[in-house]
Amino acid sequence: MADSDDFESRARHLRKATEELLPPTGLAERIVQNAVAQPPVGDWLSTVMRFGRRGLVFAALVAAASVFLARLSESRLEDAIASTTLLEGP
Amino acid sequence: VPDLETAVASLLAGEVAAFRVLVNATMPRLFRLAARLMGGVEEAEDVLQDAYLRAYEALSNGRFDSRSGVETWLYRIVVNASLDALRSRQRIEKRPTMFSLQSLDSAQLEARVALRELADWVRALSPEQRTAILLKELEGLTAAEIAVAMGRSEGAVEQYLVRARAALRARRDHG
Repeated sequence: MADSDDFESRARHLRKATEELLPPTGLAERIVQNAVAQPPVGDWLSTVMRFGRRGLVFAALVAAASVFLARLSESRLEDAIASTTLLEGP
Repeated sequence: VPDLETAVASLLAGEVAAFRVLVNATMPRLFRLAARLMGGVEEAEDVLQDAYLRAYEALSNGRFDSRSGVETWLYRIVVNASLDALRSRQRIEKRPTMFSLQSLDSAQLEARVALRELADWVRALSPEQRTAILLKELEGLTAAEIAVAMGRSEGAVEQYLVRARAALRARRDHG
């Protein structure tokens, strides 16, 4: 019983003595700035990975399609420039 | 009292400013928790930086399970960040930290002296025993709540508590 009383009273004393402990001034702002300033590295990847392997395949297809469309429009633009040049003639 | 669930919903919708609301509302309690677990103010600051960063990344990436409630979820993150820090401290003996006495009022000074006493009391315990006994005796959690916070079974928590009490008793008996 004395054991238990001793333990309890020490724990009670420490609980009470640390009850009013306050964070240092400016800590909240430092935490906010630190978190918000983190570069969003891996955001797109973690979004993709949430959908597993199918997500990764889908992302790869979207990337490939974007490249294909970019090249297509580039070649059409080149054709258009070439035909304009031919029409104008020397 | 700010509505934490609204702050989380705003943050999930991309409103970064809502994170400030969340930090301001939850930090006093979580700071006290981290300081008690770590036994020091400076280490508590490091733990909180780490914990809130984990929380921010999880919220930004939509990895938040709203079933547990945001405050319970943050509490769990702080407990686990403290456990990680205590484990790494076991490997690297840190020099004792100093604090400026001039900038503290008497209540804060007494609280920090008590933190030192607390750290000394539980110094010989393993990180798990220390966390379990402090959550029980200082934070007033039940074994079931400690199990959730630490991500362990209730049986494992009971074991930590029994061993922690035995170690503290032995330390007192042998000086």
